[in-house]
Amino acid sequence: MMAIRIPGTKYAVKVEKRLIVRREIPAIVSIASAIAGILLGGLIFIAVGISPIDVYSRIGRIAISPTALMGAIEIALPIMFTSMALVLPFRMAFYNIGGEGQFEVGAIAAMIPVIFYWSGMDLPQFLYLPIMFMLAFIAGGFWGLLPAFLRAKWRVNEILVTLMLNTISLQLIWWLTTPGGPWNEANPAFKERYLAYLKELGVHLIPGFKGTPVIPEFARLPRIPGTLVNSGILVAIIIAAILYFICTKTLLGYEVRVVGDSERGAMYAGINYLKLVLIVMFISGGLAGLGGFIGITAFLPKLSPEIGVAGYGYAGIIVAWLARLNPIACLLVSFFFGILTKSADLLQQELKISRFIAVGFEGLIFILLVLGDFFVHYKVRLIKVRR
Amino acid sequence: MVELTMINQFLIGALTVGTIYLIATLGEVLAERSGIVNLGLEGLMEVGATVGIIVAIFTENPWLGFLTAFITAAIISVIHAFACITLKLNQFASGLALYIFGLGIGITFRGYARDVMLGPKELMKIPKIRLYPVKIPLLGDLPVIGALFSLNVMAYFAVILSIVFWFILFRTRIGLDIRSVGENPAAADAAGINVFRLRYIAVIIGGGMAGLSGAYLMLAHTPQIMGAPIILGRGWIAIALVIFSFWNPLRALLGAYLFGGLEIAYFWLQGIEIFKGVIPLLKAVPHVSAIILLTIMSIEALRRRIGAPEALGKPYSRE
Repeated sequence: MMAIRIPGTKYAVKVEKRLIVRREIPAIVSIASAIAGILLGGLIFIAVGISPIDVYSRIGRIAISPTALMGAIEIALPIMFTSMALVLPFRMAFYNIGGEGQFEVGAIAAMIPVIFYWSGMDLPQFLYLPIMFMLAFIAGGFWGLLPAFLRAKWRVNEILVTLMLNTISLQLIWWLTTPGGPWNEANPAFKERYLAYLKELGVHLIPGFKGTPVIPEFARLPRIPGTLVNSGILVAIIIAAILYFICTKTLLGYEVRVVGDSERGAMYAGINYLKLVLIVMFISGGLAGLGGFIGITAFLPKLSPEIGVAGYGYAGIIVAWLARLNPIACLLVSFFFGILTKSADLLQQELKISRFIAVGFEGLIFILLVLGDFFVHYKVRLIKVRR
Repeated sequence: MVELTMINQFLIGALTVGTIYLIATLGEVLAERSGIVNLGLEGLMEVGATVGIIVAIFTENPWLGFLTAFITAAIISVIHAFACITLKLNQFASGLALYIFGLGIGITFRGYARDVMLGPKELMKIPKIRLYPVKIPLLGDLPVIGALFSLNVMAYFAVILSIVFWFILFRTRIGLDIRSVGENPAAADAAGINVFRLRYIAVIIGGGMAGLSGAYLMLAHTPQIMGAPIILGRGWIAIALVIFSFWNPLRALLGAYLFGGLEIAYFWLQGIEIFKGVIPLLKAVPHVSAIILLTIMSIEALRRRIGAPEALGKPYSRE
């Protein structure tokens, strides 16, 4: 507890530790830092000589136009998964920064049945989506196990290992999809079926294109009938509900909380850290992997290194933090980030600003959010002092 | 003889690229010795790269580029220092925030500079301001070890810096103070050492070094101005190298040049027949190596009971 007198006035700023943190305070700090971040970000525009008011009015227009909102959902949907993926590990202070890699590995695995299809091996059509879903979850989960194991066994820093794995998975995609690579659309193995398909559509192969063949229609996630919204959103909502249940009503959620409070305390309480962290990271990697499944089956309909450019995994980190590790809040904050990113895309076209400005904004919001945590733990008041 | 010059070329490349890692790693060693992790290196390096090249172009002086890159990154690091030291907040979160912020504005401004500020006339200046290897007469002509005498000026400067950092940390009073602040801040505080001030200094200088490293990458390795990431994970490898070096500036030399070599090896390996089909995977070699090395180091640290500064990552408060 301390008070600092403001010189020349009768007032002082008093800082007190909060004994009880009311539930709404973290949420208020989150919202305040998002708003402050956007306003302060205006300075970036001023620095490059663009009127921030002009920019905000453009963003305002984007935020209400239906087509842009569609685009925002499109960006938000994968982020919903990469952010929800972090809820459990972050709650136990296991810093999984590998959402990006687990997302990419999920996308790779989801592609496997499609690659077989274009090579001439069929499955019943209704099986594709469920199998791709499972493969993405399992592959992402396994990609998450390695850092978990290394951390639990030998205390290898999980932040660094997960980051390195991100680069490795992206290079894996480059290798698969580069011209001459095994999954490149020009691979002779796909020739018969894929070329016939393209001919039907009236399209030609572009020489030197980096990417797999497109996913056939029956293996794409459809829109919800009668709306413009992809049905992936329903999957996201169901998973948010399950995660919420796990966090609040199960032993797993309880153990995660105990470890998050104190790793040593958890040890004395008889919690098997190795087992817990492996389960949590399998779920976490799996959910990020599902993001990859959604990314390719709902929107891109193919796999290419482009998938790594958007940085869905990294955005998930900030979203999870802003959402205070609440899976349902993750859905809403992801949507907010979708609007932010979509706006940046349009600004790039209209004002010739790099779309990386969205990343700058996200970073700024993140910094303010971290600083804002001070107000979660401490009460700051202006008090009147005598003399 | 042909093979000897090839070895020579390889070593020059490895040492030149290794210097990128070395400068950033030294800064992080300093910060972590005082007890503060800075995960923002990657972002600070992007900012340093942007500031360094733009200032160097406009002033036609690479040294002013290095200086301003250092200062800019140091100023941004004040945010991190304030969050971690004064407000005692989560160091990982603050570092990650700095990373994403630096990445975003570093790339945005670089792209903006290329599109709006820099005309063909300015871009023509790049060959004039960039650093070239300087061959020291006679010594530079020696087979193989001649590479040690054919580097750019900053590469030599970085070696001197690591000796200076080592000397300060292990042979001076202020170095002892910094280390004690990182090991046991309460005891250091009781002994009259200003914990908060030393940590601020270490974090700010450490962050500045990351900016310097980014500017070096631009001005001595790949002077390309584009609106896309250019650091490409090197900042994270630098953080891994801190662990590899066991927080010792002289051991950082070894790790930095090793990873310089691994990165440069890509250009040699891709020419070899058996790697023809997997060229993109070769780019992941440094990252796979980093995971393996980190694991070995962590096992070693557990076995020998050595490791990170005791108070690393923990905020210190007097309460």
